[in-house]
Amino acid sequence: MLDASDAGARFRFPAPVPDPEAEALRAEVRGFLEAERAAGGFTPRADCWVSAADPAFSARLGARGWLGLTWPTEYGGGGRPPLHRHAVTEELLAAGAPVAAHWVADRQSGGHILKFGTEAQKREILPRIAAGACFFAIGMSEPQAGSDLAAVATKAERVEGGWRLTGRKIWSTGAHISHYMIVLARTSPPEGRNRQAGLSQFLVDLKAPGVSVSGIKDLAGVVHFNETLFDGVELPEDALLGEEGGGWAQVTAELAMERSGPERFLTVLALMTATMEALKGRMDARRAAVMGRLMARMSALRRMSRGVAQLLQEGASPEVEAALVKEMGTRFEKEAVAGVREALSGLPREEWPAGLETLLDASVMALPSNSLRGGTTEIMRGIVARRLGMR
Amino acid sequence: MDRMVAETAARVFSGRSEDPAALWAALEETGLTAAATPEAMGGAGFGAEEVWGLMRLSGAHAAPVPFAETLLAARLLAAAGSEPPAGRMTLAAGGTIREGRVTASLKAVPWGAAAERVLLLAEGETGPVLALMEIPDAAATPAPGIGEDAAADLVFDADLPEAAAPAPNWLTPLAFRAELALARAAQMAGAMEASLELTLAHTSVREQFGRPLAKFQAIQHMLAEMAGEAAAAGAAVEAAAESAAAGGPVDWRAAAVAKIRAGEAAERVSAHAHQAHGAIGYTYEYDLRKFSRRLWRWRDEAGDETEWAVALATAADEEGTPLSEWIIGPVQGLGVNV
Repeated sequence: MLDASDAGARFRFPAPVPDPEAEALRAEVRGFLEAERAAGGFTPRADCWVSAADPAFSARLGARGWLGLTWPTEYGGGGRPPLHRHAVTEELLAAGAPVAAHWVADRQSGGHILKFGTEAQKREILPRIAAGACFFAIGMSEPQAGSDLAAVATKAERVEGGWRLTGRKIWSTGAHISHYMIVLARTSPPEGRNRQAGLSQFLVDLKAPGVSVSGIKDLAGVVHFNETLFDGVELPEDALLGEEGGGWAQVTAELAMERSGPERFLTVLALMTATMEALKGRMDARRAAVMGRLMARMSALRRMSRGVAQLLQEGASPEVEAALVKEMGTRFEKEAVAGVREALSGLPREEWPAGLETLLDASVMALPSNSLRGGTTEIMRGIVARRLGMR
Repeated sequence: MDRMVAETAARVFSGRSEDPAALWAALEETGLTAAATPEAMGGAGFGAEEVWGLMRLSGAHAAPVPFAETLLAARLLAAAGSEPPAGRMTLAAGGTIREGRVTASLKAVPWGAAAERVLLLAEGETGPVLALMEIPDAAATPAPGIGEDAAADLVFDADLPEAAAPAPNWLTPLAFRAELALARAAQMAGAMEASLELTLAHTSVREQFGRPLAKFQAIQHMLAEMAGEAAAAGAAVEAAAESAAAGGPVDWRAAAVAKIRAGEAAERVSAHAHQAHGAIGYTYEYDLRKFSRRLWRWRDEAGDETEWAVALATAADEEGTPLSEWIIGPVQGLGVNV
């Protein structure tokens, strides 16, 4: 019988190194957001990193140097550590700020180009992202390739002087307001049963001839995601991002970045904060029991999320830890909405503070997508099970 | 936690979950029972992170001795300026001190039937007092309980011991409960890690339908969830222990977070562990029992999830700070911005 003598933490979420500079930056961002809100620059939005796009707001963040925060200064970045960026994103999310326009570019596309792009690509694109003037969409999912991403059918064929791109991408958030999409496409046939071979990534200018973007209304009736058609789009030679045939490894790295942030659970903080305001003077044991549990769950998740940032800061590749936080984070978002409803029960909607009803309704309608986008709960659990040696 | 300390402790705990006497002797011999005792008092002088890390390890090995209680009692005694004695200790809040006499009637004190002394946080005439009481056989009546922790009801009507000292200022009843809650949360985090390991080992060798259980997606997802829950509890425990890093008390709110999170995780982890094990996990002989029974006991000790949740949300409500400040604020931050 096993003695459990090997027992120990399977996953490490190290303590964030105390950093007064990060806290100073946090305070600066918070002050800016308060001023913006007071001046009518925005009202707090649920699910703000997906559905609240405001290019002018993004440009104001860029002007303050808060985009591309971790990239080298020579590419327009801030040259700061990941925990600084984590502090900034926490503040933006907690405020429900309209950050959707630049979110993908700042979170994953820019860093991806930094890692895999050519010098020319970096110099051309990164400073524009950091200025809040260049937005990106994700080009992974297709009508027949969702969780099974290696099934992508979009094709890039070699032609004189470049590539010809044919196919379609779907669920591409913000493609209608974005400048580029990083497209995963097949450049050569699978090697036997290895479908992960023969894939490559391309930087596609969404203004190029042959690209058409059409919006898809989500359940709430809002267009934030799209279907993007590539009808024989001529791509220049330097549209290739990274290595030809190296697309699978690259897209895996990109997904790790996509999953690593606090947006997977922190967007319900605005809702929880407004709920506590609504309960002021009406707090009782039933309500406190519900809200206290949510506070505890969110605090633990936050610690894990900061642990992921700390791991990044140490130069580790915490993709499994990030998958774990995403899986638990999106599960928490559902529990948080359920809990908030329970805590607010008995308090007529007419007596709710301004904005709470909108926040709750928007959160309810966003819930089904939270545990789908960026990799479903089932895919996340598969990643964790692989680390446990089960697959 | 320091790697050498962790390895030494794991070696000491290993293989001794059925032999309390041998385990205790080994713990004393290696100095681990004095881990929380300051160097000036002859101990190892470990910080809060190491101390709670050791408690976590003791949970991961289902230690059949009052190790966590002894460490915590030593920590509190040292904070009150008293030198912790050798031997098994447990601790409880309760009792009154009047004119040099201690009277107390304490229900189901863990290890009450196995420890030599109990550290009481008792109500003195001029404030709370830490009184370290010998436990004569006559004072202890075994109490029912599922925690395999030799719990006993303790009754005292005795002279105040010489070693009694006024409790440090910070040691309010809430702070005392928070310290104990964090000890339980740490032990639970360890017990959940061990449950996960047992379940992993079982599902990778047990075959049904011609393949190991671990190859079934339904089982993989259960274990992934267990791993996440155990990790969340562990992270919350670490954050709370760090809140006491500078030698002061644990931030009660961070301890509350840890206890709530560990309690919630225990529910899922033990349910999944048993489901994946099948009938063998439901036997007395199999090791999983030790972890499950402890988890089910510890989650109710020193405040269950609901009690701490009510305390947390009520405090946030009374303080009036926006909740977002509580969670991510630079100062408030539930003890996580250390």
